[in-house]
Amino acid sequence: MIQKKICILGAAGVGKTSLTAQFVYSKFSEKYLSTMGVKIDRKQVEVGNTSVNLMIWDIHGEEKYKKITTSYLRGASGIITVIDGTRPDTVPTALEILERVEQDLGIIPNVFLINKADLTDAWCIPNDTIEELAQHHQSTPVYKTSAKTGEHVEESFLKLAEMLIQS
Amino acid sequence: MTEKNQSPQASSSDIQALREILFQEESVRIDKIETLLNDKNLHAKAIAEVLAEAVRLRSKEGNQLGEALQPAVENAITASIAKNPKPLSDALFPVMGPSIRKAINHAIAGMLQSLNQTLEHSFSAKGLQWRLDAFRTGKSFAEVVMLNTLVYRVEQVFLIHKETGLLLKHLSFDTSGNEDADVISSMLTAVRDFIQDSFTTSSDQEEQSLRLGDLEIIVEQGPDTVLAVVCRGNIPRSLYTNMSIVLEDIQHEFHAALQNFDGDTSHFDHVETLLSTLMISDYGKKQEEESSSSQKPLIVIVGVLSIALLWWGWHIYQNHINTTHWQHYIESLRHESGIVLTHVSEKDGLHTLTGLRDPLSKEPASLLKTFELNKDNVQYKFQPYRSLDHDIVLKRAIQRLQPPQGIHLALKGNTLYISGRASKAWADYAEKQALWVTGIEAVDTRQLIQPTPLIERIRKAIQPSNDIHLQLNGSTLTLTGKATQAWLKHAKTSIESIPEVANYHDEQVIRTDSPEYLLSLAKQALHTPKSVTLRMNNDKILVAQGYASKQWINQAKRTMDTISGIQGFNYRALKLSDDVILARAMKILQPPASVNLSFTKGILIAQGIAPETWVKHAQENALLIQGVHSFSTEKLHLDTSPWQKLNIEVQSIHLVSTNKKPTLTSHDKTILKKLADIYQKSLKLNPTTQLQILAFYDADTKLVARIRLNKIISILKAYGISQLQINSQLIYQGNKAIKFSLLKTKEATH
Ligand SMILES: Nc1nc2c(ncn2[C@@H]2O[C@H](COP(=O)(O)OP(=O)(O)OP(=O)(O)O)[C@@H](O)[C@H]2O)c(=O)[nH]1
Ligand SMILES: [Mg+2]
Repeated sequence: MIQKKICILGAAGVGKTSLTAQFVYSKFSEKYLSTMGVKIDRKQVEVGNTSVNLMIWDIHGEEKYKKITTSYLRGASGIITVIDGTRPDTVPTALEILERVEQDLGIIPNVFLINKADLTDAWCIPNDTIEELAQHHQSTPVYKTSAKTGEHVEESFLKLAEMLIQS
Repeated sequence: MTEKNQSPQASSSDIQALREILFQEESVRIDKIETLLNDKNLHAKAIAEVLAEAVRLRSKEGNQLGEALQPAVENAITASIAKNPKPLSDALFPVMGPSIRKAINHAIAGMLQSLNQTLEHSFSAKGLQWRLDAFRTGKSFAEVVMLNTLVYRVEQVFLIHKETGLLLKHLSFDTSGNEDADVISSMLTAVRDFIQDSFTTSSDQEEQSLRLGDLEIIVEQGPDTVLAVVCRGNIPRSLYTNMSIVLEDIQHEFHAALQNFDGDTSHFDHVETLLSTLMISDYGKKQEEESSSSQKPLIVIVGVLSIALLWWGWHIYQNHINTTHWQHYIESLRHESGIVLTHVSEKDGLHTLTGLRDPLSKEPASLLKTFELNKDNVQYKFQPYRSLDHDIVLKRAIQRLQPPQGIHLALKGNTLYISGRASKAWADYAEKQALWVTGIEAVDTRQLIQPTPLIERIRKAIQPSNDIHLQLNGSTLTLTGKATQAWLKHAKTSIESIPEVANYHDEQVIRTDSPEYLLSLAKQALHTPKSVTLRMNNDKILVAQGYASKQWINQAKRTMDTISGIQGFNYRALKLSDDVILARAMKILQPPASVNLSFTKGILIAQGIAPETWVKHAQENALLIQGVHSFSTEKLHLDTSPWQKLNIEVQSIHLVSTNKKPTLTSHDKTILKKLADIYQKSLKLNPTTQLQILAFYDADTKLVARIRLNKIISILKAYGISQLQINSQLIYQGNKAIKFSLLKTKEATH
């Protein structure tokens, strides 16, 4: 069996924990319990014929005074960078984090998740931005996800797992 | 049927025998079934065999089973905890090591979060499965009790890939393994930095151990791997050595696999043989007693979830106990910030408290007295940790920041609010430092005010009036001007709270409410005569002494009322200044005892009998005395000498002309004779004596008066008085009298 460590990163409150919960337990809660430190979950997925045990490190949101500890990132094979579709300021935060991570770990597989897609009224990420994100390092998958409805959640995680196996 | 007929009397034993022949097999089976049905143990055994599977099946269909079992499980756990909470917490500890420290690290917020998840999970059938397995064996808590008696046992071994935190291999004392081992492995890595800080480091740098209650996690690090061994009891020294050896062997044998590790753990399947050498245990004497009933040990698969279960159970336990002092003490410790009690046990009167304690928390023993408990009966086994309790975090922040006076720290959630007045440099410093404080994740300095110039702060602090002038020279503040003493006192204390002011001088300030100042004010306002001395007593009453006029006193009284700060005017000791003039007159004039001097309204009055010499002297000097405007001797009688007596006699003689003729009557001539006699007498007393004759006339009697005077003179001559001895004068006045008196040019020498 193959094990892989992946990290979920992004600004606080973008839905990292919710996405993990949706992916691992198919559960969603409206309640916001901010993550302290790191929360580690595991989910086994099948990529082709290979089972991959994803160790998912759901890391606390990046805030002004709460920069992400790099020791959490050590040994990660892939990254999920989460943006809140209703908060445009979470885009630069996401990119900053990603840049810092890539300085530490080198360029590793990454997918962008623009989350809370169910909140269509509050949605405020223009398509331009999405295209720009997709151009990151020539090509990076971008998904509009909803931890609430589950839209594109499994798909995006599986996409990353696939990228991990192929790389 | 035929057989029946043939032998209707066939004995029951025959039938019995026949039955045995025909149904022997069935009979045995029925017996078996009967025994089976009656034997509760076998019955249970059978159910036990299917129970776990039944539970598994049922739990797939939903949560009802969990809900149904919940009360029973709750009761069982409650009862167990009530009896002795230690076994259960012990049982929960093996995998809680990382979870606990995570919980510690994330404090209550994290705890509550996991509590929510936990309660939900714990009562789902799945979450309860391991408990049901334990109940099935009927040995669940017995096993837990056994945990207490063992000497040591290695519970779990984790071989972790150092970089990724991925689990390469896991061995568990519990043969069924630990489903969450991979998560725990990651968690161990996640907290590695923390562990490196907080694990007690022994001589060998790579060998670290964390003790949590009875549980110890020993971590040994190799170049690519981390070996973590979770054990209970008193671990023999040899285990540490063995760990090093095993780690070296692994490192050597799996070198290539480790270098090329891509998440595929199958390369490490064979590592188990090496690791299993670490799975050691020693049950001591107890082993024989327990071994007969040795059962599959309690599977301990609990995550963070179980902390909450324990916690919850603990609360119920709390309700069960009597409210003894001891319990109150425990209770108070539990509420104490920075103290986490994990075990409370008692043996032969010795209470053992195990848990975690922040060095900044209250010394647990210090509370004993309050509950009348003896410290000899208590033993503390506290591991140091960093509490995230509000009070402790705040204390820690204060310790770290050492905020200067005027800075206030407050903590809300994870945010430290710094308020007050501080320099930019300090604010920056504080902001940086605060983020190093465990439990503080954000700093809010918006309430921190940049300091205004020192002089402004001083002004604000002391609020000087316009009469006060401030002079700041370096750290020396000098006050000049005028102020009340009360204000100066206030200013002085206010200044003390401004550390930048090292020296403070207010000596030069005129105390406007000081007796001295009030006195000077009074003096200025009053134009005080020299004869008055003024002083201000401590009650700020102006006291006047000396001599003053009534007028001045009245004026002064009125003036004093208008000067604020002066509480009154005491002039009881003040003598009226008439007296002073009198006294001065007495001193200068030295009147004889027979003379009484008095002074009023500027007039000095002499009364009584005085020798002429004194009167003369008095008349000469009286008007020279300050304050004396006139001198009255009207009521003064001269002390009469014989000559004087004669003069008085002479003066009493006067001639009155009734008509306009200058004729002298015979009576007039008798009088003149008498006059001449007296004069002759006086001449003997004083040869310089002259007789003065004053002749008065009016408009139409001048000539008559002259003629009469001449006549008188000639008569007197006849009586022996020479022209030289007579001093005569015509005086124009509205009557026609003639008066006589004696004059002497020199005093007679006796
Ligand atoms: N409507 C909607 N709400 C979401 C979605 N994802 C997350 N949320 C809500 O957003 C809030 C924050 O979600 P979390 O998953 O805790 O966010 P996080 O990124 O883990 O936050 P931190 O741990 O503080 O960094 C919660 O109230 C969620 O219920 C989503 O897709 N749709
Ligand atoms: Mg989170």
